[in-house]
Amino acid sequence: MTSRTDIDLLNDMQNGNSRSLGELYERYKGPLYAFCLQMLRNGAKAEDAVHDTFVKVARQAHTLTHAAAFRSWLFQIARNETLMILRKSQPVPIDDDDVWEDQTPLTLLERDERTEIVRSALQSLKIQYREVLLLREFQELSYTDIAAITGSTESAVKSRLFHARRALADKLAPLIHDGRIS
Amino acid sequence: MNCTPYREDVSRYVDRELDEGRIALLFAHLAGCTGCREFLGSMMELRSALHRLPAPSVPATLDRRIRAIRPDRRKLIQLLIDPVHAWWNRRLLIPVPALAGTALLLLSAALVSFSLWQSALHSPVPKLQVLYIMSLPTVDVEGFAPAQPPPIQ
Repeated sequence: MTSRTDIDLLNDMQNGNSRSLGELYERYKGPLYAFCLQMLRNGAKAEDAVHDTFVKVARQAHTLTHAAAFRSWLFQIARNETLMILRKSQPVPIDDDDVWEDQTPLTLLERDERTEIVRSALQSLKIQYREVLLLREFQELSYTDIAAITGSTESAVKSRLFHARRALADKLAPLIHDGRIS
Repeated sequence: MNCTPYREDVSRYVDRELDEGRIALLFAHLAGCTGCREFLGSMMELRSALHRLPAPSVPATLDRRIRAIRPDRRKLIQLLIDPVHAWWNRRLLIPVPALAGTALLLLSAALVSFSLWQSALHSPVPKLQVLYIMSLPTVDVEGFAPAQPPPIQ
């Protein structure tokens, strides 16, 4: 038995089949929840963001003109939801060259929790750098898709990826050079 | 030497988004630049570190909340319109030039008919008229004397 494509499930869902929404959720819940969690750094808020994303999917599926682009559309909704939640709690500066949101994660080196250090460093990136890195590294989306999702240009995506990676590599350099990261 | 453009290329190379020509240029540069080679190494290390981050487990409460969502059915009007739209597309799809030609022809015919009708309405009364003359017979009515015209002085 062949598994049904996203497009099949979307068509079913538009006819009121809630089971298809469940299948789409099962298919994307892991990556979507991970993305929202890394964006929001809070489990409860990430849960709200994923829930609100699927509410929008259920209500607006008929507005999707290219069903093949479902994955990008899904992450675009999730990104908007996370930004909305972030805006409610704090302003999101976007025209700032500084890469770090909080204090640098060097102090965490003392914990010697390798995974925690890497995660903390990633989550300390400013939102506009973090989102492109998450979409590229974990969702493996193309520069074109990331530009569409974030409402920016491909060259901006390339530039932000470069700056995010360079900043992360610099901050994690002690671990990298000690061989503790690998 | 300014290595920034090459390091930007390293980032794209790691993403497999660098074209063949740029890859050749990058590796030519890497052959003579220790700093950029180290940068490439740290990019690869960073990638593997990021990919080793454990995926978070999705909370069961989220599963329950999603199961409670009911997708909207398409509006009734849309369900009625869709088959008509499909039928139109399948059966009545007329090429635009043919449709435009037909519309132009119908418009011309309507204009000609209208102008003929208007000219018929406003045309002058013809000078030659048919005159119908009737001669009635004289009838005498008993007890009735017609008034005599007054004498002319």
